[in-house]
Amino acid sequence: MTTGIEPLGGAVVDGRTESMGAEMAAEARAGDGMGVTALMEAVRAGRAAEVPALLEPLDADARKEAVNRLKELRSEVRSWDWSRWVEATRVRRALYVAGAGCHTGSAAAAAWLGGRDLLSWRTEDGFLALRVLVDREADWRADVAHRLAAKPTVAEGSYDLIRGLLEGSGAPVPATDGYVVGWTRRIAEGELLERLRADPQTPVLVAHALSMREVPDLLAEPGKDGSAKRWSAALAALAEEGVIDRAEVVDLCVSRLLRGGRPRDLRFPLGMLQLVPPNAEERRDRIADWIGMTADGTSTVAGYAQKVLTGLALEGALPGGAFSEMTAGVLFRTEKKLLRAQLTLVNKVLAKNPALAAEVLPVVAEAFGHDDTEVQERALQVVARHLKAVDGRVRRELAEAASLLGPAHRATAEVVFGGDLGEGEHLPYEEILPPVPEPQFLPGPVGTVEELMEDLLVQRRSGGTMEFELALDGLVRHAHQDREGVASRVRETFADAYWQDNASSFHLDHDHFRHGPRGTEAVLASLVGKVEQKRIKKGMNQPVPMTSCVHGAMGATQDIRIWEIAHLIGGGTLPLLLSTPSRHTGGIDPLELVRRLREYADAGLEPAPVDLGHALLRVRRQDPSAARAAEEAESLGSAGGARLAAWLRSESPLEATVRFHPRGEKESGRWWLVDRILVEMTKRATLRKEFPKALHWLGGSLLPNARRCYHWEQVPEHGATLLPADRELLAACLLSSMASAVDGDSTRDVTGPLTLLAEGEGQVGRAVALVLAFGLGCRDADDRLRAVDALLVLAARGDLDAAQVGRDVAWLLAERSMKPNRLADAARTAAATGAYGTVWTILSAALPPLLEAETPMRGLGELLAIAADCAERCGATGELAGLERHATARGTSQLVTQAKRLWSALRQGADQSTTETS
Amino acid sequence: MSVSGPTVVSMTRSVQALAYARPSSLESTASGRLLGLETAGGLTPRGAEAHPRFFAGFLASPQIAARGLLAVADVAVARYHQRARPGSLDPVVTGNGDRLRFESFSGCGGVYARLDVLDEGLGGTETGHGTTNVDVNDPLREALSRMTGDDPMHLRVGPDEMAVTTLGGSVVEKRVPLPDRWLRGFAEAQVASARFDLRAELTGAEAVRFLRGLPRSQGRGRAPLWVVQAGRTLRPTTRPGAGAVCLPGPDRLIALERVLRFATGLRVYGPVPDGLATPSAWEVTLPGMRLTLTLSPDPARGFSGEGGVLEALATDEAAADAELIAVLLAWEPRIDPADLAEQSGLAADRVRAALTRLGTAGRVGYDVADATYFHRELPYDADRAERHNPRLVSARRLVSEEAVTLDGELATVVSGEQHYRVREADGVLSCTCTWWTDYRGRRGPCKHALAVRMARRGVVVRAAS
Repeated sequence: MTTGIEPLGGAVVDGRTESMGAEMAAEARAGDGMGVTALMEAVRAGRAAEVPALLEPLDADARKEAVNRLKELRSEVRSWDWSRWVEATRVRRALYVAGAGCHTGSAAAAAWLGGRDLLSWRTEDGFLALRVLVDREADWRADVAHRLAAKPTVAEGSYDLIRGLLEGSGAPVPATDGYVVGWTRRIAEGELLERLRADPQTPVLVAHALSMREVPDLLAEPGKDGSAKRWSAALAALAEEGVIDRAEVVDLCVSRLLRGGRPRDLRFPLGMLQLVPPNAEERRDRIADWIGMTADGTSTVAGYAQKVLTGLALEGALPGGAFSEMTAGVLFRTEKKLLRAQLTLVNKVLAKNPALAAEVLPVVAEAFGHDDTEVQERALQVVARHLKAVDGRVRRELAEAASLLGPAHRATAEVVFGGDLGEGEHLPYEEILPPVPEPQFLPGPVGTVEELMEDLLVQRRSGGTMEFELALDGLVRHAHQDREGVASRVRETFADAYWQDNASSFHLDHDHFRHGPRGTEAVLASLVGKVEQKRIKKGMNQPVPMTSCVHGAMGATQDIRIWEIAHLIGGGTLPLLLSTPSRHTGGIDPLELVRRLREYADAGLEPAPVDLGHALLRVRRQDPSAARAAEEAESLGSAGGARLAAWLRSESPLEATVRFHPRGEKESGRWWLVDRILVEMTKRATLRKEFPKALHWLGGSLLPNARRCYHWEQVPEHGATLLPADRELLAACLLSSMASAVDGDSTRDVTGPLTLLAEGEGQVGRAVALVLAFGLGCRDADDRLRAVDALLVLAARGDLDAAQVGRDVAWLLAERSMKPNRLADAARTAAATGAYGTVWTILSAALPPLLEAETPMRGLGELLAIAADCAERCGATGELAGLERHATARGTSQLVTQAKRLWSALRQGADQSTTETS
Repeated sequence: MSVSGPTVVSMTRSVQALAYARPSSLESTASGRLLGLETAGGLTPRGAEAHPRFFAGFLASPQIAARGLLAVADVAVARYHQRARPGSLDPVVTGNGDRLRFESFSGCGGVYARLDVLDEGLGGTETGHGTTNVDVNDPLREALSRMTGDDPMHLRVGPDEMAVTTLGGSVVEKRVPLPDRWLRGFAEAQVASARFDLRAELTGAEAVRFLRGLPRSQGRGRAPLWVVQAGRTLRPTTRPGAGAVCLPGPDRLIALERVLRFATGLRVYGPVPDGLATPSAWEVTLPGMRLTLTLSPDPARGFSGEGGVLEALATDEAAADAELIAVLLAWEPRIDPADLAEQSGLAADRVRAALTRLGTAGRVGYDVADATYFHRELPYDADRAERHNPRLVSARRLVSEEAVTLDGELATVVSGEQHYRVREADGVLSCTCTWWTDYRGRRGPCKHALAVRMARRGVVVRAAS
């Protein structure tokens, strides 16, 4: 079945059969009454196929009248309801065809045919419109066609219409983006090469396609079976046959590549150039283009241009100035392959033509400051080889530049340049760590009721943990003073909440809080009286089963606290919340807590058990004012005060141990990290006696079992603020959620609590080191960044055990749970901030087991590179077990070169320290 | 309210028509190179001109200037977030007497680029005054990319005196439909950068290392990256502390790649960090020139086009101030508010408010390096759409329906069935509606706050005809 390019008659197969019967019907109707009425009736009924026949008998005046009525109908259809969509589409089709025929001016007709609401996706409509317009003058049709082609979306969709309008009008082909896209789509149906050859539009449109900023999809589709390949092959064949001008194709492709853009858009011109290569003269003429491409183009384009220029240079057709320009551009790039190729080329060219050395060597010397030591080495080799061809002044210049070389190559540089070598900077190493974060204190309780309502609304939508806590505390305080007032304000402000009995709630008796208190919602509902008492009681008494996982326990604890607040709010026994944090880590200053307890004592009230329990967990026991606070608490004389004093004075009431199951077979259920972590809270009887049941799990009532849980593998932020004074315990709770981020493949956003960990209080031990090691190996880059941040902050506070982190990283890498490239990325980021010493300590503990392994793992070279960089910068000394074996091995792989580099760096560091002390 | 059928909701667009006398070109002659940039209509001290002439002289560093110009042109056609297909406007050039400024704005509305060619870069030649568009076409781009070596280059902005004007009128005509939001965003980027301070400074080599180490992938929908100065380099961090700068969508800095080779330093500017994403400005110092990129807080959204002007628009007082100040401006490269206060007789804060208003109307720009405004009239009317802002219209309707009840410090607005409380604190009106809880002032006041402001000032609104 043929479509599109053929002349009109054969194409309208479908439209014709449809309209033949319609024509007869239309004739019958046109016979009686005014033609315009019949036309409008047909349009209103959506019978587009009858429209051409109905239009024929109308004269100019009738058409003018019809235009006005059609315009009215169009705006009427615009205002129709969504439910009349199907009808509207049909009417619009008819409007499209009718309007095309009735407009006399070409601009008006083009505007009508380009109207966004009238365009349809059915190709028959284009042909119907064509039938209507076939009898207009050539100029008129050409004008409409060009106007339509100028609008991108219209041209794409109405390709057939435009093509048909241009037929026989003798007008030039409109080369616009939209038209070309439509053409590529239409012409790809069928045998591509044949149709391209047969179509007279091909030369113009191909020329335009090659210079478009956004290449049409069909030409950009990659892959062996992609259409782009067929297109390039077809166009190459046509260029050879002479249907399209070969020189023009080459010209356009080179210009397009020079202009640059997204890699997707450059693939097609590059492919064309491979198939239709420029001849020798063209290559020579465009030397400036190739140089521009090597400097600014994408990797593939630059590689291609470099090859062309290499050919020219080796022929001797590249002038010296251009060659040094090219070298300067390429040596600034980052792709090692291009740099290596360029340095090899420089060698060859200078070997043939030593006179260029004076111009080219200073440019090569710019590569001395490159980050990659291999590039530095090669550049030094090239300079050394051709140094004899330059005079003294240039030699001194090069020696100056050589001071940028890294310490690994300084020895070689000294041999090359002798005494002229510039002095490198010899500053004593200073570790740059981030400043110790200042404590951020939370603002005091909320002021007026109005502010409180706003805070509650904001927190409900998007607030963080601290906003939640402050809002809750404010609510409790205000409700204590004036329950009724606050309740009425809540009723008004939250009038559209789901727990209010308004029209939008489905069941009037539905228990909205069956699955949990949902933050402040339960408290608000309880204040207003919309929660049943038995729901509150059930929530408060929910158990924390022994078999629950840590996430479940944390979640249950938080829920029980909120249910207790909901139970007591406004009842006169809860003047304020004891457990509201005073710092952003969740910690409460001890004196502040004493103040709060004093308020309770003065009012003669006993603190609520879960509230007090949370407050005790959050109080900062390590704060310097703890001793004084303990005394004051005792002097209060209340039960709460006594408990606080005892708690502040106790040694380390909460502890946890972390163990790992050994790794088994993949199917044994002991393969993934998350299935092997065993966290056990130390049993504390005092905890179980004094704290409410909800918090017993912290004292060891959970069964330690290593298995996956169904929680979303994350510790939510408010869970992390539960234990601001016990970092070790918090780290132990985070381990299972982070384990999946290390060896799984979809977990993200797990390291959020690490920042709070770094700024919290409490001893630092195995769990913290493990959690940092996990963090450094996370799959997601943002997670690693947060882990690096936490690592550096801990180092700045002096709480980091870098060697332990290194040891943990070692066994994780050795058993292949962690990927070395992720660790390398994290280490590189950490080192780049200036903390070379810390990173060196971690790596020096992590590397020995990996170096001593039988077959070194892939990616070890990268780690050694980072370790060498750190060692060079911080002047590290010492021995690294297993390094010598690799440093003395033969070969040029990255592992060997970097091992050598590290070895010499360590020895240099030892030399330096002995010279300093001696 | 009846909804029409499945039509595409179209943004309001206006068509910018640019007419150049001939296409811009770069020619090589025996005595050097000639870069001729053609101009379309714009404003000068003499009034509106069809093809103003700003500059004829030599550039001190031709290759670097060419690359800077290409960087600005790159941003003009770039689209860093894939949404609809807006058109792209040719770069805008301003002559301020001692420097030339080339400005452009990306298609997605999220990146504003400006190349300032200073006195040293122009070889000491003075420029004319005025603002207009310059034609940047494909052959010019290719010619600029091909440029190598340091042969002297003569730059001409505006048509040659002795050129023969064709009788038929303009040769190069471009009609670009641009959404109103884009037009406002171009102007809004200036006002956003007026709050910036210098936060970090890097040397050329460190700048190259840092910019090359940024992630290349788009990573939309994630939390933005923050950087803070640590020693000689910038350290990425996840939590904004003091002195941190937000870098939303780091791939958008790729436009700086063209000039990195010649960069002598990088300066980073940003506002005071407060937890949410903020815009930032990245300035590369070049010999005799500066290339600045200003990034929007959210790559997907672009500069939001608010600028807090809505409050001022709600009443007409600031409009008169702005008109008065506009008359006193004289295309100076550095506007001195104290000087203007003296000349106009207005208080300093009213002058500042007037300058902000002029900024969002596109009639002044802001230079972060000099920390002052400069006079520049964008060649289109960015102010027009502001008056038809939907929130203002809704606010007027609320006032005319008498939905506002004032009660001292508080006010209640009835909208539909909901009662919203509007509260004033430190001159900022806050509300209990969802718009305010979502954005909390980042996008200007909500319609209830505007209605309260109008009611307080006693604005009488006639019912819409």
